[in-house]
Amino acid sequence: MNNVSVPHITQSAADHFRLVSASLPGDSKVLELRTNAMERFVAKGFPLKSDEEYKYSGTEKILKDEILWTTEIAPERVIDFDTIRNLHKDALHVFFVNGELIEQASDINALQNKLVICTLKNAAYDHAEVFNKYYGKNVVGFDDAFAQLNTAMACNGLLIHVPEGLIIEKPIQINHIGYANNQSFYQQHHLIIADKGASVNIIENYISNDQSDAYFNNQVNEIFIAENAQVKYYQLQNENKQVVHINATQVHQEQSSYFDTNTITIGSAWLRNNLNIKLNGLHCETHLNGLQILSGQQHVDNHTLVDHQMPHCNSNQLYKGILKDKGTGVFNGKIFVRRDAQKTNAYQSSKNMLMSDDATMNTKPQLEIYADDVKCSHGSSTGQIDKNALFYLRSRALSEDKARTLLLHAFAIEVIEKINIASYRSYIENIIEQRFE
Amino acid sequence: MISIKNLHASIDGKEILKGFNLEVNAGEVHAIMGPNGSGKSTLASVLAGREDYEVTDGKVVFNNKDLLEMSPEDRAREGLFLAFQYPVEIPGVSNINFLKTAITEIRQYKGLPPLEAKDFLKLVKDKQAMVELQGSLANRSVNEGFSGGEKKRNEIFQMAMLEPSLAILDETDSGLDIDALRIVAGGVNKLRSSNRSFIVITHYQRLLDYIVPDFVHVMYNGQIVKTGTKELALELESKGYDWIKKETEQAI
Repeated sequence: MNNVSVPHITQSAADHFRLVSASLPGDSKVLELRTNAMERFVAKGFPLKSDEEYKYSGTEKILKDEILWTTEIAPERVIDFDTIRNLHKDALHVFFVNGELIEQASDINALQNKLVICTLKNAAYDHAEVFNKYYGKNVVGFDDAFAQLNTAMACNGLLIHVPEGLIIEKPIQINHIGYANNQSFYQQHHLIIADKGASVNIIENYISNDQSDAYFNNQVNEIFIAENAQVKYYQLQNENKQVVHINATQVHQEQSSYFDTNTITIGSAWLRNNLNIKLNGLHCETHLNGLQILSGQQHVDNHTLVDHQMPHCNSNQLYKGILKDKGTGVFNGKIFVRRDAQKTNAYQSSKNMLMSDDATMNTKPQLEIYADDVKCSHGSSTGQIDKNALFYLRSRALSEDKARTLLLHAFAIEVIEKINIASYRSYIENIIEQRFE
Repeated sequence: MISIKNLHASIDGKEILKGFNLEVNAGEVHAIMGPNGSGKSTLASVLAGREDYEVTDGKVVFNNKDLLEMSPEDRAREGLFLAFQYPVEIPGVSNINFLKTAITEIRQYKGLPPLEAKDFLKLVKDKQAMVELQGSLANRSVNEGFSGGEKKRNEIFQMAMLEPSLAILDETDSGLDIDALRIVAGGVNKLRSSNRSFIVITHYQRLLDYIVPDFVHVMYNGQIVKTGTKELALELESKGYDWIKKETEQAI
């Protein structure tokens, strides 16, 4: 695969957009926004290594000559939804197969009497005002080719709208099951809106069928958190090791709101997370945590941006990586403190463990501070398993494998412990434990 | 119990142990004293199986088996225990879970089933009381945030839990105040029995007031250069180590 075909694929996206744009969800203003997004995408093209933001994650290697822009019909009968449910019984479940909602398998009805939850297509008709107001608004300022492409073309995904004061206790787990053929490119776009004083917990669980070929999953999540509202948003990225996954989460926080996110990445061949948080009110609190466990030739890139626009906000970031074999990881964390954002507390930490000579980790913390009364810090470390600790455990009769597992588990647990939904935390612990065995 | 013959060991090409010999019988307590750099801690590390050291010559027989052929974990399963001079902090690994795993591994090696939960908890409670270790410490991460004294007490607590046949105490007294020293020594004394032996490595005689040894050896330049009883330790305390060095050098 060489660079020559990148413009070719960019053009094929533009052609497809022309074909379908009239039928995409949204009013004429949304269509205008989509068209602009498409133009920005075409102008930028798929990001290459020469793009500073994709320095370690150029798409030269992952793009194929042809891409299928339409998703095929989901072979839902072969998927065992109950098994997925039973792994996390305390949640309400929503199922997508190849980007299409499987309504009859999902708990949409159980959820609907309390809040608005529906597909984007339905949202554009049944909740047109909300849809047209919010769609794409958090992506406009984010100059990323994948996010623009998604915003232009996405017709699948969910609108989750939690009205004022409503507290949804049970976590909503959105399961994305990939069952696609080679070169499918599917794009979902969620709108998650928590009105004043509302609270909702959302889990996104990405899995793929073992027999599934390589496919692209390019997702955008727009999260709007109004005054005094709370959103917990957790992701488990566990697709098979041929999948290319790009995920942008755009968060807008208003005064005294709370956001907590935790991204566990163990799957896919090539994965990029963009997490952009805008703190647009006083006294916001935001927590970003991530754990990646990579093996084989997996490549995972976590890009975060926390934009402190207003005073008295707190942000905290902890990202950890365990890299085996030829795994490569990237952490690029940017904290932006605007001139008005006095009394900001912003912390960031990236810790990584290399388990082989061929594993690579690139970390790049960036602090841009324009206010003068703030507390900000960042730290980054990349090392190997502590030999002294390993010997200590072995001298207490633990086999080398068991000692290693115990130490890796101890390293990972710091991130897992920050998951604030008990049932989901133990679900993750089980999955991680299996990874170490 | 253990028979060490002509042990030579080096690290990074530098020879530290230069023909070390020692016989320890069941139930005996041997103290090894000596100036800094004489090879005391190297001896402890080599016996426990630390891979940084290369054994270049000699033989060590432990419970009729070739110790040097065994992995560190198998040495522990055979009943060897090293109380570390610098116990390692391991954040995220709970003291109790780690001990439970250790005991299970030892029992499995001996063909025994894992301890029942209630028996394990009783054992923890009893042994904790023995070394006056607070319950909250046992539930915390291994040595994380422990004071120097707590770390050493935790070593003795682990020793009590694992019930080794040979325990090597590597400068367990260093950095301890007198109260902590009494507690640690008290724990060791309670574990003394006719089928358990100790090698107590120390720089100072003070510990031997509390743990009274059967033999005292002086180590210098990678070998034992003098052997006596507890009176030798007192002599060293009053006269220092210089006369030993002189005597040794004259003999050469």
